[in-house]
Amino acid sequence: MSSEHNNIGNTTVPTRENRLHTITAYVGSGNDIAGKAKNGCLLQQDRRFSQSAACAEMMPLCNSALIDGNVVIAHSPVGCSGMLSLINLIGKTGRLMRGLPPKNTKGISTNLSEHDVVYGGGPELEKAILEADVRHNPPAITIITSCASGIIGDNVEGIVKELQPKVRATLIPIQCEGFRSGVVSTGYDAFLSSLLQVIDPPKIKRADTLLLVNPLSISRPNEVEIERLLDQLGLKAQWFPLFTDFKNVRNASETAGVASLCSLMSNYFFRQLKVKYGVSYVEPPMPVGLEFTDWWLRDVGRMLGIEEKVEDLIKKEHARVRPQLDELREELQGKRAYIGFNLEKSLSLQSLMTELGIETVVSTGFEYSDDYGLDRIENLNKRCGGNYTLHIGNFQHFEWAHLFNREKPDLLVGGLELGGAALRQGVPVAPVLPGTFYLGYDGAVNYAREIVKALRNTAYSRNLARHVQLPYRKSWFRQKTHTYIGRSEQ
Amino acid sequence: MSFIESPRSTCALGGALAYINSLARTAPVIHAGPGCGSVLTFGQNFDGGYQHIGHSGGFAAPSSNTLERHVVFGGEDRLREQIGTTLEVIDADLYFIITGCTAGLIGDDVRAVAGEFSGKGKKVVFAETPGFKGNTYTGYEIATQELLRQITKPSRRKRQLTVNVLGVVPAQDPFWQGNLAEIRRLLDRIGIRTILSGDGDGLVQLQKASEAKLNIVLSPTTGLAAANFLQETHGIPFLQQALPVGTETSFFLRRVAELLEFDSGLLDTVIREEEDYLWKHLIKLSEAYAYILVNREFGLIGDTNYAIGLTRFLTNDLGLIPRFVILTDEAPQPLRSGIEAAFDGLENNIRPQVFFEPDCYRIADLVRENRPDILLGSTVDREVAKELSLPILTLSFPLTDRVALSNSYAGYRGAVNLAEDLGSAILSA
Repeated sequence: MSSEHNNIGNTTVPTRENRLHTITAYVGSGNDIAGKAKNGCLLQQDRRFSQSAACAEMMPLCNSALIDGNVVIAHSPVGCSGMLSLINLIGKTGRLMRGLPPKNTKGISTNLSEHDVVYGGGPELEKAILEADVRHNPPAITIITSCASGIIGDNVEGIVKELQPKVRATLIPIQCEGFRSGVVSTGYDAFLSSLLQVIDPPKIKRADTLLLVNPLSISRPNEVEIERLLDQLGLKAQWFPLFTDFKNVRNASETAGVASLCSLMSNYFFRQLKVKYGVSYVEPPMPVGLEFTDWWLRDVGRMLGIEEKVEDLIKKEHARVRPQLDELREELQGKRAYIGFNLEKSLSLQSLMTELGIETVVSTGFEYSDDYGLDRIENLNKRCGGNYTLHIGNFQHFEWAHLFNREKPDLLVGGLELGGAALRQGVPVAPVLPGTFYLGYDGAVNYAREIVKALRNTAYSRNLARHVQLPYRKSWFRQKTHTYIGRSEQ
Repeated sequence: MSFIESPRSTCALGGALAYINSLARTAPVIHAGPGCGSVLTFGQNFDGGYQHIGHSGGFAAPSSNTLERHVVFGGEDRLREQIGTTLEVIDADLYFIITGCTAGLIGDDVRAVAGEFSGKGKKVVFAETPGFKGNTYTGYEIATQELLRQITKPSRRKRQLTVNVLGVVPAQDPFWQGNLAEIRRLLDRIGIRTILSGDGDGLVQLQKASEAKLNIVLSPTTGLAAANFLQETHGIPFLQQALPVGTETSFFLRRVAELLEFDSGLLDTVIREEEDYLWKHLIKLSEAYAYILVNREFGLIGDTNYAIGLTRFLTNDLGLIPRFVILTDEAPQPLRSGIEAAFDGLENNIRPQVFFEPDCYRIADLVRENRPDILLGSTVDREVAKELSLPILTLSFPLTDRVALSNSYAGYRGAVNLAEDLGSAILSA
């Protein structure tokens, strides 16, 4: 590896809290948050009561396990790699959908013990790296750090430098101690920017190829829809970095520009890639529904100077899809939805709900930053009024439960995190999971049909709720949702 | 300890959390980094055959979510605040503080903070369970022992025909609830009451655990910490028995009756009826046995708890040939010779090769080197089964290709389930 590769991405990334003033605790309305954001008075507050949340280590582990052929080593006690099996499931399904033979994702835990935290875990990490290289002959090995390895001060980057000449795989250290950030996307920054170490300088420029960052929850049918649209613009998609051959990671800088299917996750990486290799980027919202897919395509078109082509495409697609959506709108009009994902996805699905005549009563996001929140929220406030509840919480089940109880929505538009919570409070779920097709124009139609289906038989959630005992005191539901956000008023 | 590819367990914090999730009206208070509770929910409840368990389990688990400033300046104030607010928000009889790596490494005095809340009408207990202390089984050991130490009251006398059941780790055994229900059903039939049953125990049972006449430890490795504590402090002897499956269950019930010194008239009737039930179904299997099961050599990959009971049933009742057993739970060294011995004395003195191996890559190699006809293992082992074209029944952790609700592989009914599921796995391969 040439030394210039070590200039960027090889050091600890700034946290989202510090770099973007990202917040993880807020309850208010769409109008309120937009107003506060513009006045600069939207500040992070702590919760006095909190529940299981998310850490910076989760996304590097899960995502790097899904780079084709890669081995991920969690330099941690054994529990930190707990999500590997679930990722294995997503990985196998993801490979099947891409016509690849299913195989287990490769993850190793250094299994730090009491002995290791006293005497250092370096030797175990060295053994794991050497063995991973021999066992799997992978193109790359990502090494992620943990709370334990961080506090005991293991020099992971030093070990990697020392071992690199001895192994065939490219070693990619990712500094992502869990305690560093309460914002899960700090982990995305650590993960994606670590890949800058292995992206080669461009030898050529491929003007017809757009680099597209794919989050792990975006399954193949969504990529196919994006490819269909880009194809009509004469563009090829190069997916990055999941389920893709490692050479497509290496030559990422040769593309004409980069866009993301989730600008929340790619925020830091785009800026770093631009600085290092001058690759242009755009950060439109996730392309869900008509308006936000138009937005996404227009931003891409502007970056590549093909605005007219894009307008033609939009016109053509609308003519085709609108009648189908109108039909579905008749069935869905007036329903009330609770939306819960990371903020980028929530707001994009809220845009689709608006187009389907569904009222959004609550939009939940795991974090908020002006960078990837404000323009979307202002757009939505104009289109559906700004009185919907906007909730920001790195999970926080008690607040979700409070809002389910208060709003009694007709359905949840949500994923793995909120799905069970909704059902147990009697709210049926129209899930967006790895495997759900919902992006672009055809995805909008498909997902709207899923909602119709989800509402056809709500027996499970209705009956379930009658048998569930929530763990909260009754008094909690009489308080305000934001009661535990911020210092106590004494 | 050594590195592990595709681990089959979470950490000590995970084991403690799983145990708390088996208790009635008990809320955990996780004092750890922000991701621990969620990673363990994904990595344990999902990987244990998809189970949402716990009074305040899953994403509802209270957690202090300590960040860098707590690591630098200490997390005790944050923990104090979190316990106070948990008492306000969560309606529970018992609040159980468990700690993760950060608290363990920076040395927060959890005992002192927990102590501040005692005697205020709320039961607050704690256990130090940082992930680096060990795997899920270790966490279960620490949490059970600490809970009994802090909650169980001395008893004036023992109650006749009562037992505590220990050693089955929730979710790590995906079929824990079904297995414990079968054990409880059988004990119940012969007139024995459980105080701690391992599933849904509440504050009252925990306080009265000292009244039991006998502790039953359903594992060669796990549950010993609690059993030793109850023996030393409350004078309760214990019987250690790997989860019994099939006819082995009859020996188990007889041992229990013997130790509790009670009349065996009812016992004989129950055993006869239960064995009749088992064989009624195994008779049904006889017509197709030669087609489906005869002469099959099996390889088994699982934890020690399961492996012994399953091997005994498959060999001694079902007439299969045990080729190898791979024990994945990193049993403590001093216990290993005893565990090896548990595979002696099978039908016709057939002895499987016994390996202690948690690493998935080396496990796959062992399967290749000792190629069996059928495999029992976890979802991870599907890959090597496919490579070797072996039928596989998945039943051990991590289990992500099955849903585990009430199914069981223990006792007589569990044995029938096992024969049924194994036959089906072979036929559908």
